[in-house]
Amino acid sequence: MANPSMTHSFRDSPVLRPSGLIVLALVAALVAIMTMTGSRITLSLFAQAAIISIMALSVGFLARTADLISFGHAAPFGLGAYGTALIFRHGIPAELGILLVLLAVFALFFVMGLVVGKLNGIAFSMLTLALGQFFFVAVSKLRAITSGADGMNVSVPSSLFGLPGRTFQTPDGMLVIASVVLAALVIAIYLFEATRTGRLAMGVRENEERVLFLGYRTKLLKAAVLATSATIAGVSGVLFALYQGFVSPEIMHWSFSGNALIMAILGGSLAVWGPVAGALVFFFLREWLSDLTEHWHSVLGAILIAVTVAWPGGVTALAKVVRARLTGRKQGEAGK
Amino acid sequence: MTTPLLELKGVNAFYGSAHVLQGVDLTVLPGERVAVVGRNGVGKTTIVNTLLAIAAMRGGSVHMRGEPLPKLAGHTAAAHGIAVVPQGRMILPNLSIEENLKLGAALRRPGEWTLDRVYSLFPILAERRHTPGTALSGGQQQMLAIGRALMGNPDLMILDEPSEGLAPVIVDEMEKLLRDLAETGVAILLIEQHLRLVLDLAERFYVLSKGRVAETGLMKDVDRESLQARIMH
Repeated sequence: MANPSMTHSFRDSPVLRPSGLIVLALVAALVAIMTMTGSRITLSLFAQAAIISIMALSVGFLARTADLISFGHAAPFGLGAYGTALIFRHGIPAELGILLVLLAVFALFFVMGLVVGKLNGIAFSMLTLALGQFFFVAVSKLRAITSGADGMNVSVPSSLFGLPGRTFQTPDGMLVIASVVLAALVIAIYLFEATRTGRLAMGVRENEERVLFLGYRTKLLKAAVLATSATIAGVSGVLFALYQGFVSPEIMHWSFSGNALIMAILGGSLAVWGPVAGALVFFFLREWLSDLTEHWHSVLGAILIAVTVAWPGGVTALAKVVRARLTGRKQGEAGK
Repeated sequence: MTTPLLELKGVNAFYGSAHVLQGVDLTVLPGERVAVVGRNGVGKTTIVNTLLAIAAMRGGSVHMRGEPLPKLAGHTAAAHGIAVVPQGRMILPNLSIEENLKLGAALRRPGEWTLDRVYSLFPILAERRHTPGTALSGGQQQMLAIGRALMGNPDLMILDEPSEGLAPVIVDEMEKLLRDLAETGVAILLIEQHLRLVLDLAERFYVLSKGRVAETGLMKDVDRESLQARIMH
């Protein structure tokens, strides 16, 4: 009988190699230093950037694992955020409620994945756009439940996941929490890619038909990847609601999905951490430019076009080139 | 009488509204080597595509070991013991050789084919087990495609144009390999235009013409010229 275990094991995962562990330690040290020395405004910006990075990670995970481009990930983000606001409003036990919200997001998008399983490319993207706008309109119109365009306050309980509720609403507290969640998700995705299912997902991305003919039900796998990606976006939405203390329909608008996609593209898909880097670059570039000029959209657009043309693989491709130069390897070997 | 391993009875298959297979009858006995030959566009690959539900079957039936297959779908052929080595090999280029092979063991059907046995059959794959599929030559890719199919422990291996793009010396090696394979009990359905491979390997043949079986017979009763004439008829 064939041994189906894959060559790859967790030990081979880049995140558990010495270089990966060093990077993780450096990031942890950086976050610790910032919380001790950073100003409130700086910490707040980094806390928001970390939350948005999780959103970009979800879009990048879907693109990297299933080669699917979503224009509608603001929907699971918003469902996570609104779900959190609603469970707090209705007095549902907070931890259980958040878990149920995330499970509901997973279930919803798993079913959606089964229904649209055969769609790829632009058809899938358009469908996610339509779905995202459906939820945007729904939260805007269902005033009795969501307060419509007025938005909803999020009443964070006094204690949540063993921490004081206030911790989730302070810049330093949220920066640490969001960074830990982000790091855990990046590690989890790296480890997933080293599993048999992760390698199978990579096979589906390369040639779904071939994997199907080997006897795998690829539709289930793609649905699970979409649902997992949506749940990660939901986690981002939960953190957003906890930190901001307020949710409104704008967070489910298609332009928010578009921003997340731009972050993922800017970061590139050569590494799991690409969308996170893209989100940080995008977020701080936007903050910096908006201080300089009211026409920051145009400047940001021009920069993004230039970066995309110069480095189509995004920040991850650029990092590989830099790394190859530092280690003296030829550029062509950099991607290996 | 031996129960056929695979039997197509009056199969009609379509791509959209195009009626490609028109009442095709075909059998493969356990351990048998059967070839399907014919000009380009007569529907040879459509036989495979029908089994994989790429072409829609709207008439006739498919039986495995005497049992009708009620519903064909992309993932069901492997469960019934049918492995397909497709035209163009279709290996997964960014996965390593070993990962490609292990994906072939999707359903973990019981059998003798293990990773070690495939490696002993193709030592070059063992040497390069961590190499991505993109780095392989055409012949090595074909070995990988066959090895991956064997990992599913199939009863029937269908090879669609396996000699396409390969050097004659590699085709000779492959013929020997497929002959050895058939001796292990794996039946082979060879869809091929390369008549030398067909003549050397197959025991029976079907000539397909315009989506129908024009002729069938034993390979020992024909030579290259007469088989060519039957195809061109």
